[in-house]
Amino acid sequence: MQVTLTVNHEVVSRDVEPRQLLVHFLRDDLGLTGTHAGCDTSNCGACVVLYDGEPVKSCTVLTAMAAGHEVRTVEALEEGDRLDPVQQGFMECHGLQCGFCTPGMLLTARALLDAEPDPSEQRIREAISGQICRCTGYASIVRSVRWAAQHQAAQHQGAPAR
Amino acid sequence: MTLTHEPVGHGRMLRKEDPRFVRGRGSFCDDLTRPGQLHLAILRSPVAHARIVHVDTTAAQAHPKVKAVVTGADLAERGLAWMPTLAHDVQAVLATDKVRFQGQEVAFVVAEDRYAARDALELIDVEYDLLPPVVDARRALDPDAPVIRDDLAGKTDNHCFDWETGDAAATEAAFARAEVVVSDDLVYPRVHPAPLETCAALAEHDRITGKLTVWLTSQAPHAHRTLFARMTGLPEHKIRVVSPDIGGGFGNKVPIYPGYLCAIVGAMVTGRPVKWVEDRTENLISTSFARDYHMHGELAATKDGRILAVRARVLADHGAFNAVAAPAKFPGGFFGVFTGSYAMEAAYCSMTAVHTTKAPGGVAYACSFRIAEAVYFIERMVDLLARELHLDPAEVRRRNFIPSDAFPYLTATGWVYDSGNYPAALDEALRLAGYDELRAEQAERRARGPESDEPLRGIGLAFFTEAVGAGRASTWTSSASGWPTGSSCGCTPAARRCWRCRCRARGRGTRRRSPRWSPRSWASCRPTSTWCTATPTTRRTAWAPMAAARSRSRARRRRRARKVRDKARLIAADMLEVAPDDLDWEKGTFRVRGIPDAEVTMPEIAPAPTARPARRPGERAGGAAGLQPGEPHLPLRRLPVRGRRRPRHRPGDGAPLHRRRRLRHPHQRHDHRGPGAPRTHRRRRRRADGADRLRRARQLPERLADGLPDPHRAGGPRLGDRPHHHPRPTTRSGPRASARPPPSGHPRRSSTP
Repeated sequence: MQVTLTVNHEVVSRDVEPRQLLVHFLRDDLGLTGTHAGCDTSNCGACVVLYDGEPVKSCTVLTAMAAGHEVRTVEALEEGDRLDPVQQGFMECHGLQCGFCTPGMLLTARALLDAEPDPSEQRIREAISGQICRCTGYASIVRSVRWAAQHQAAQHQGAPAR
Repeated sequence: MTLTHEPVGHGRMLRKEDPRFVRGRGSFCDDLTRPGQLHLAILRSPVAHARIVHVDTTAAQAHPKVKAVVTGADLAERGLAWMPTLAHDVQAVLATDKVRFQGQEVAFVVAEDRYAARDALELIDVEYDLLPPVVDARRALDPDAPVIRDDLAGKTDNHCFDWETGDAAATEAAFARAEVVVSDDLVYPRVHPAPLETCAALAEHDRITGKLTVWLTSQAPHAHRTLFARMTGLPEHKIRVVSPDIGGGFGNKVPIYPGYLCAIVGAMVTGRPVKWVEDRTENLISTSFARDYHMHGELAATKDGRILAVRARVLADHGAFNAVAAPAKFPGGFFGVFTGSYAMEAAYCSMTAVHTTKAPGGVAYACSFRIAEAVYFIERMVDLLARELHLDPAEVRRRNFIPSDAFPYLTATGWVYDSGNYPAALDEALRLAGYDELRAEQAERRARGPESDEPLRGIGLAFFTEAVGAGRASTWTSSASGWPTGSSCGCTPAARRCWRCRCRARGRGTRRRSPRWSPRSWASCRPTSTWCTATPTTRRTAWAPMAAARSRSRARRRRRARKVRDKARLIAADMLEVAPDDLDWEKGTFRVRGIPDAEVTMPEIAPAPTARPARRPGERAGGAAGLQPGEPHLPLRRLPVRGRRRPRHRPGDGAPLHRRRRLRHPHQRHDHRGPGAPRTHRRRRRRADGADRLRRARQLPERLADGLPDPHRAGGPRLGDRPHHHPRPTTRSGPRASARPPPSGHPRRSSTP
C-alpha cells in the first residue's frame, strides 16, 4: 500500500506492506539506521522516535498508521552543525557506553525537555522508565538530561553554547 | 591506603566514540546492508527434549520470496550439522536426530526480506516425538534420567566431566584439627547477559575468489574465524571477520552460535549476502548463559577465626552442550581460585559437571570463567565463619588475608598471586563506605525493634581478587594460548603512537582510553599524538580469541608501550653514540646524562628504523655525519620500508640506501638476520652489551616463566624455596597438574639469550 508521511521534515512516499512496522520502514526502507530495534516485545525502547512530537516506540506503530503524521528520528536532532543540548549532554556526562539505547534515550529526553524545560531527577527517571540501558546504570543518563536542561536554558538566554 | 599519585586516566575526557553514537551514526551489525542482501530466519524447537521424526519443508520452499530452506539433514549431508564448541565439545548447528533444549535450531529459511523469512518458518512442519526433559542438575545423574547426549559414542548417562584441584589428604588433615567447621549449600543460578543488541551476522561469499566476509556481533572475531575455517573448509586467509559496533556484549557474544554458521551456509548456498538478526526471545532462550553451580562448601578454622582449609563439592550444569568459553586447560575454568584472597594451609575442590536439557552455558559479565562463582563461594563461607564466631566480617577477612609481604604467593591450589596489599585495600574501602557509621546505624535500627517504621539495614562485604587476562601461560590450553587481552603498540615514522587493540571496543571508551594507558612520561610527549583502533577485523589484528577491554588489559598495554620506549632507547643510543643506559628519558626525549644539549626526541627517533642515510664501512653513525643537535637528524629520503624488503636504490637518489640491521628488544635474541652492510665484531658486541646493561638496570627477569620470579633477583621470597609449604595440586581429568612448584633449588627458567 502507498503511504505518505513526513520523516525528519521531508515528505516521503513509499509502497509498503500493510503489516510493516514503522521501525523497519525507517531502517530498511529509508536507511535511517539510528533508530534501533532491541527487542520484539516493546520493552527496550531503543526504537523510540518522536511521533508528532511525542516519544513513541516505533516497533508498536505500523507504517500505515503513520501516514500523514510527522516522525522525527535521532538523525534530525542535530540542527545544521549544532548538536542538540541533549546530544551534548550525553557526551559531556557519559550518558552512553555502547550507544545502542542512546537514540531512544535522546528523543525521550528531547520530548521531556520540550514539555518541561527544567525537569526534576524524578521526572527524568519517569520519562525514561520505558527504556532499557544495559551499560550505564541510568545515573549518568539522568545526569546528562539534567545537563541538557541547564544548558538549554542558558542557550535560550543567549549565552553561547559550549 | 592513600593514593600517592594521580591515577592514569583521571581528568576530563570526551570519548571518541560518542559523536557518532549521539547522531545515530553507529554501525551495528543490523545497520549494515550489502547489495542483493537476503534475510535469514531460524526455526527453533518449541520443546526441551524430543526426537525429530520428520521435517517437511515443501510448503516453505514454495513460498515465492524464499530462496533456500535448509534442515539438519541437509547440513549433515555436507558434514556441517555439528560444530566444535570452545570447550572441546560439539554442538548441533541444526538438530538432526533430536532437539536437546527449548529454542534449539532446527531449520533455517533464507528469503528476500525479514517478513517473508518469518512467514516461511511457519510453513515448515516438524513432527516431534517427545522425551522427558532434565531441568534439574541434581536429577541429571539419576539412573532413570533420559540420556541427553546419545550422539556421543558410549554415553549412558548425563555425566559431562569430573575435575578436582588441591590436596584432598592435606585438606582432610586440616579439617581433623579444626576447632570450628562451617558448611553450607550454595546455589549460583543461571544468569543471562542480555545485551541490548541481539546477536547478528551478515555473511557474504564470493564464489569466484572463494573469499568469505562475515560481519558479526562478535567479542572474539579470531576464534570465530578459526571455527568458520574448520567448518567451511576455506583457508583462514580467505575469511575476513569484521566486528563492527557492538550494542553491549557482557560475554554473550563470545561463544559461537549456530546462527552465525547458518548465515554463512545461507550465503554460500544462495550466492548472495545473507543477514541473520535474532530477536529478543531467541536471544534469551538460546544464547549462552553462565554460572549454574550447585556448591557444597566446608570451611575449617581455629576459634580465633583463622582459616585452616576449605573444601568445595560442585555440581556444574552445562546444559545440552558444553559450550563455555574456556581459556583454561581445566574443565572447571578458573574455579581453582576459590581460596580467594585468603591464606590457608590446604584446599580441595571436586567438581562434577552434567548435561541438562537447557541452553548451553557460556560467559557472562566480567570475571567469568568461573571466577565469580569461586569468589561468591569463598566470600559466603567467610561470612558464615564470621557469623559462627560472632565476629565482624571485615575483621575475619583481615585476619585471614594473604599478608602483603608474602607476595608472590602460591595458593593451595597452585595459583600465583603476584602482588597485593589486601588489608590496606579493605580499610580504604571501609573508610570510603563509612563502614563504622553504617554498623552503628544498623545496631541502632535493630535496637528500635520491629515497631519502628524504619526498615532494618543489611550490610554485605565481599573481597575480590581477579585474575589478570586469563592467568599464567601454564593455565591456558594450547589452542588458546592467545587468550589474554592484548593490544599492540607501535610508532609511526611521524612519531604518532599507534595502538591496535586486539579487543573489541564495546562501550567502554576504548579508543580514548587505550592511548591514555601508556607510560605517563610518554603520554606527555609532544608533539606526538596517538590513535587507537578498536574495531578488530581478523585481517588487521593479531590472533586474540577474546578480550575484555578493561582494567585487566591495562598492565599489558603498559608493557607494550614500554617495549616501544625500550626500542627507541636503543635507537637513540645509536644516534647519540652512547650506551643505552647513559640515557635519561623525560617527556618524549632521551638526554645523555651529564651532557645537557645531547638529546633526541621521539619525532627524531621514530623515522630512524625506516629511513637512514647511507653509511659506508668505517663511517660512524648518526651525528658523525656532521649534523648538529636540533638539525633534522634523519632525512626522510624514502617511504617507510615494509616487511623485510630491501630498499631499492634508484638512480639519482645519491648514495645507495641500506636498511639497517633489525633493532631488537632486549628480550629478543640477536641473531643478526637482518639485512645491511656487514658489521664489525666490535659493534655487535657493544650493542649486545648495551642491551644487557639495559636489562640489568631495569632488574627485569630474563623471561617470566610461568609467573615465577627471576631466581637471580636479589631478595624477596622464592617460590621454589618452599615446595613443602604447599601441596602439589592434582587433577584427575586434566592433562597434567596445573602449576606445580618447581623442584627445590631449580626454579624453572627458559633459556637465556
